[in-house]
Amino acid sequence: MPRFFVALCGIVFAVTLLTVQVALFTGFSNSTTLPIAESTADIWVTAPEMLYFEGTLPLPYSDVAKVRAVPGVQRAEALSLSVARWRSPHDLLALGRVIGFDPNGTLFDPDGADRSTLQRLRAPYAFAIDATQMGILDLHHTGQSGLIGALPARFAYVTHGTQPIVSATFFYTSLETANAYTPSALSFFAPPGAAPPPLEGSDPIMYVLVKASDPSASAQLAAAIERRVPHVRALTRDAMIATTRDYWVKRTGIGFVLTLIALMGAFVGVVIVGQILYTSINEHLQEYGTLKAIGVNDAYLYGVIALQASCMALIAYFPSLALTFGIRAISAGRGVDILITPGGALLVLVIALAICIGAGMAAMQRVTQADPALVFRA
Amino acid sequence: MQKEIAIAAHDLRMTYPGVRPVHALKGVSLDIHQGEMLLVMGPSGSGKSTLLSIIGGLLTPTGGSVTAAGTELTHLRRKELARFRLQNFGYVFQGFNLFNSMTGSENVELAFHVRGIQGRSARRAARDLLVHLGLEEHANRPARDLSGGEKQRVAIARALAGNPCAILADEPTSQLDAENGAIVTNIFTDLARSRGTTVVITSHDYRIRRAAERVVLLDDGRL
Ligand SMILES: Nc1ncnc2c1ncn2[C@@H]1O[C@H](COP(=O)(O)OP(=O)(O)OP(=O)(O)O)[C@@H](O)[C@H]1O
Ligand SMILES: [Mg+2]
Repeated sequence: MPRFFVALCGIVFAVTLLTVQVALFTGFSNSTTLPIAESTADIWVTAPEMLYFEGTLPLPYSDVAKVRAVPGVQRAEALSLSVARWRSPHDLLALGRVIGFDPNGTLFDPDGADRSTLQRLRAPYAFAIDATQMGILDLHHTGQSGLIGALPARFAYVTHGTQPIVSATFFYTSLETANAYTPSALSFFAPPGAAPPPLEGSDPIMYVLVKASDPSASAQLAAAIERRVPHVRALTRDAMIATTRDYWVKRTGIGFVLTLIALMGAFVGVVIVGQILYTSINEHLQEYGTLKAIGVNDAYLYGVIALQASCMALIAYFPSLALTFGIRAISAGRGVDILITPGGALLVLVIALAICIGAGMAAMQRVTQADPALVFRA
Repeated sequence: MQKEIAIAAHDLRMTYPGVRPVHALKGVSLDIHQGEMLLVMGPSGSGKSTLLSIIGGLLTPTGGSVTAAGTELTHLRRKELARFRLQNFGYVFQGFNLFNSMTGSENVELAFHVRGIQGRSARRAARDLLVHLGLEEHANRPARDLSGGEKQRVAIARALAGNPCAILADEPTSQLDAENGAIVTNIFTDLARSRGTTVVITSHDYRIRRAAERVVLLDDGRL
């Protein structure tokens, strides 16, 4: 039955469009919070002005010790964030972000690298970047060097799946290296070839990462930190993720655009499914009319259509999911992450069902308005 | 012996609206008795189907009233009228109107399902009806593969599923050959005689004319 096949392709197309949008949305919102997910910290301490992960103001390094002194804090480590002006071996320029952390620490580890890999960042001016960023930075293999600002920078290792699509290239370095790259008076006087000096109390960092003795009491500990350390805001990991995700989704309009495209997918779905069901109902109008004449109530007829519509939704759902996984495979490693979570898959199923049943109900008008006396006309 | 009146139609008028309105019925009054087999005859366009639709609660007349089983049909709302049809009437159509992709048996079972009888009870009841109408062999074939006579018998079985007090049939034999027409006619005669079901038929078929207890002639919207 070729007509059924064509119809099926239409719904699969619509549901796939929808699934990809949902997956893109999930992938996008997940991507924006990657650096937070890379950390095992229970609490993030930062400036009260913080808007999202990259949008915050510096704290003095001395705040790490203050936070560490708060009862209930098991570990506290610094995370710094600053602008990087990259110049490749072939003088290609790019703008990035330097994320400084303690390679000896336990609270931040991009890509979950092992100890020995992390130790490579202890070498002066060593950095790690995500594999997707190598082309942008004109880098082809580890060991290559370029400049960040006026200082040397050496490509130490590659991470995978750590780069948010919304952010400029993240250079992962040690705190000391990051501090040296931070544009301040200090770096100008750094003698050439010397290792960057350890941080002083007044040096800027962006976050204090905190491991709580009792992770289940993170919220209380965050409140305690805000009381004991002046001028900071302490967020639980979940709050940090939600704040950053919501910032990107709501404030940038990207979420709006993706929602709009998803709605278009849903609209196409309604039109296609509605068209198919309308045609099918028209073909079987005699049978529906017969049921009406017999005295079957509308609820029963609606049930019949809803069942048909649900079948269509289910038949279209699984190929669409498979297609989306295919699209994901094709687009993998291109910076656009298409993420299919169980929640997202369930959401699409619910929407697909709603689309089909909604279209079915609309097409039902043909039957409810039909005159039962039609059956006695040849 | 004076039989009870099953359906009483009083001064029925039906005008189909349009650029040139059609006065299909121009004041038809008719009492149909319980267990009676009534044949409505008349030339094409005389209003037979219209009369049957109104009597059967499928069409609301522009004037007059229909009372069936003690209920004034013209006063019922759409939904109540549908329930009334489901509980009191069975319909047989000229073109059978079966669900072609279903088997004969499933067509009859469906009529039980829509009345809330499900599963094995519906299957057994459908089978009993089909056997009674001499269809035990073909009941499990798709309706589209049945002969015209078999289709019409399945349709009659379907109409009987709700144990209706009246069967309304619009030209039930016009698409059947002589032999099958006779079989169907006999079924109707038997229904009226032994079950006491009121049967109202419109037809040109003289065989039914001979079998019918009463024949009324409709001409240009009048009896
Ligand atoms: N829905 C309608 N709208 C307008 N006119 C109609 C409608 N239904 C029937 N008519 C007209 O009403 C008149 C009676 O029609 P009806 O179908 O009742 O006749 P009939 O006796 O059953 O004819 P036939 O023997 O051909 O079946 C005809 O002139 C017909 O054209
Ligand atoms: Mg007719």
